[in-house]
Amino acid sequence: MGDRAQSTAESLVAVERMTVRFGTQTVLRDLSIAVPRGETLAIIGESGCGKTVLLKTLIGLVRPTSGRVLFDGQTINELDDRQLTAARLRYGFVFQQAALFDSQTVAENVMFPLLEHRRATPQEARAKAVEHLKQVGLPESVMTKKPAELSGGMRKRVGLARALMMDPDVLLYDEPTTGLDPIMSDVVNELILKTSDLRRSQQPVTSIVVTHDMHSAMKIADRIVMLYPVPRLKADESQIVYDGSPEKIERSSDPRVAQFVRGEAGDRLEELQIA
Amino acid sequence: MASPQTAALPAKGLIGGLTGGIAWVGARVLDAVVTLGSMAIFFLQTLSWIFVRWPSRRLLTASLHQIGVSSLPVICLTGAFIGMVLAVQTYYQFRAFGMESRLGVMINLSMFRELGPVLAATMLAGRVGSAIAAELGTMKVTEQIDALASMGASPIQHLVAPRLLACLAMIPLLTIAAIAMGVLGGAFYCIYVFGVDPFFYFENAREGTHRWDILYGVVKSFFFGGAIAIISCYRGFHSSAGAEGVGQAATISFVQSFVTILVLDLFLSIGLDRMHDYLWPPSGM
Repeated sequence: MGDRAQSTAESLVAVERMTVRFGTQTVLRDLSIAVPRGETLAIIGESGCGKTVLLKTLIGLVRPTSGRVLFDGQTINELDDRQLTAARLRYGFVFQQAALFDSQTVAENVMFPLLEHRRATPQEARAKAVEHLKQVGLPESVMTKKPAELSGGMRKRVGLARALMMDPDVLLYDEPTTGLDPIMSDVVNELILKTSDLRRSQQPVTSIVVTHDMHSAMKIADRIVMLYPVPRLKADESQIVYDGSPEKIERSSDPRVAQFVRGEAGDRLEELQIA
Repeated sequence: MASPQTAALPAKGLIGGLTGGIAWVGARVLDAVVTLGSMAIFFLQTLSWIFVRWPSRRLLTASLHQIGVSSLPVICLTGAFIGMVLAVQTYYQFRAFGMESRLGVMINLSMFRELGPVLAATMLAGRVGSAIAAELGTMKVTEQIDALASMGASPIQHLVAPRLLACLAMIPLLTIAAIAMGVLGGAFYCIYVFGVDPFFYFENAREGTHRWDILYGVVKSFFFGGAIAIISCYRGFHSSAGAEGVGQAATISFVQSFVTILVLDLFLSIGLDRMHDYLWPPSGM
């Protein structure tokens, strides 16, 4: 407990004894995770275990039922709207389906955060948008396109470029490789690594990547945390079934971790049919 | 004494059915009260954003165009046909009393005070309200609303405030257009199809209607516009996931807007009539 308190105090992002319920359904239970500055953390786990909800609580999009969400010494779930806005400006969020604004062009999407917070003139915002689009491997010619005209991989990269526009301290990625072909998945992985390395040279960047793609987690993460769905846990069990390095996860003795890492159905089909 | 498990079990038979029914009604009433309160907060948040930061010209222009300009043809068509239908439905009754030349008063007053604002608002609740609910519902399920919030922008300021302002500005104007087309449609049918004398038709219509009657419908339409915008945006923001959820948001938005328009119409009619009597007391009192 003392170690946990110490690591929470040193971390940039942390959750402490956090529970999230929607109605009668408990999605996250008594969860505590601390992410030190500069670390790339991959959160893995099967669908429905609360990975995306956890990511959204970090930025105040979902309020925890109990517990605390900490960011750089502030308790996110106790901030007023103005303070929460200021905290959110230090985050970049790459959504699962990119969440680009349909009605706007790529340029308008990418320039949006800078113009919204009046951090740049339209000319400066445009120059920075071009720079970030190039950084994610997209030509300037995509600037006039609408999101519907782009492929899935291009949309993800535009989403990443948009997330980088405010030079965030923390980057949150929600399933960045889901729905992409293996080559484009690896391109996105490389971009996440490149972004972390590039930003590290300027200032430490903290990345939290939610994924169920083990290849991706092994490639990009400094540390992996595996969550297990609450309904499948006993009352006294922790929802975190693995917390450690990518190298050691393959040697985990926990059968739940081993099953996930190897991608085996085990007796899950029978369980689902009974349910 | 019953154990907690036994106490939690529903009673069977007639009593069970009755208590179950009462519980069901109670739950629906509580849901409705919670929704009303939530909508009121949503409305107040939107108002506060309008005063804190006026929506950008680009967002406002897009909303004004979507709600106003795009709706104009269908509103004019609806208004014209309502006027003509009114003429068809009332001509024979008026002719029986030899009062065909007074059809204009009846058609114009109906259009100004009731049919113009209510039917225009109903049409707009279907055309504009459902579109807003579906658009915002899609934005919600594709996480675009979360994306706005994650970048420190207010979804209400960006998505609701311009639509509310556009509805408040454009729905009264569209109502005026619907009324004008209804008046013209009714006049056209009476004069060119039924052969009513145009001089007496227009002269009686002019004498029988007053500025207050025109204002009456426009005031109503202002409230209808606000109700359509808030209900549609609220339903879009609270859409459940998937195509079915977005479809339901659009449907519920229309149904609730329609019911609200009718309820508001009743209370506004009572209020405006009382205001008229207060400002211009009826003669003989």
